[in-house]
Amino acid sequence: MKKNQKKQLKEKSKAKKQPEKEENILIDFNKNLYNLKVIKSAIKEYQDLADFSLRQKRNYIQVELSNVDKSVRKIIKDEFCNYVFFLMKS
Amino acid sequence: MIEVKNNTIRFVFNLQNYPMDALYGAAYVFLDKAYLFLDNKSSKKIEVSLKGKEKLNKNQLEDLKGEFLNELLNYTVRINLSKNNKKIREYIISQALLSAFGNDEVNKEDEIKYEDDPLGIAIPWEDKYEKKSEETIKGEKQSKETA
Repeated sequence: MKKNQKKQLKEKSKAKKQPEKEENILIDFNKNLYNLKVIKSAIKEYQDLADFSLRQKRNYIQVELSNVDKSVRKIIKDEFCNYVFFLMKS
Repeated sequence: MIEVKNNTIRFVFNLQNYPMDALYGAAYVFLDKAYLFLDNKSSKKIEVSLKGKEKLNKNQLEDLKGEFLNELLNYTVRINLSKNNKKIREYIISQALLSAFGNDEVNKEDEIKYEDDPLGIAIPWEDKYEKKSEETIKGEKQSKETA
């Protein structure tokens, strides 16, 4: 019993020590509402903060953000969406 | 349908009642106040997500939604007005431009050089009024003498 408990504890501690993998951020822009050119130019502006990849699905343009700068991780998705909107109008 | 979650309010509205430009206009106004995201649920139904830049409670989020819909209405009225006034606006501008350019031939005929000085602006004050004043003084003296 004790051995089993020790094993379990070791596994738990190992799991805690492993650095958490940062999940990629996915944004789906509807093609009827957002313009591909505008999204591309927004990506150019934001490329220093993360790695961007573009994919086109049926009605959506999917933007995937990886290796996001830690300092902006919480707000980058919302700020990026707002910036795309800003470019849409101007 | 309204959903309030994670400092975000989501609602769907029918785009048939509003022009697309009004939606973009209203969204642009709200860029400073909130994080915006749009999605097209069906052909004419748009889902709007408004996320507060600061922590907002349910009432504040609903106020934000109300303000957004008001702004949408404001832009709709503006767009409709500009559509209705388009012809008269173009007419007024064309008239203004025409009168500003004027008719070149007429202008050439009427062109007066500054050297001509038809209003006598370039004549010095002394030349223009002193002679007259001397004459008037003389005239006054004469009239006194005769009297």
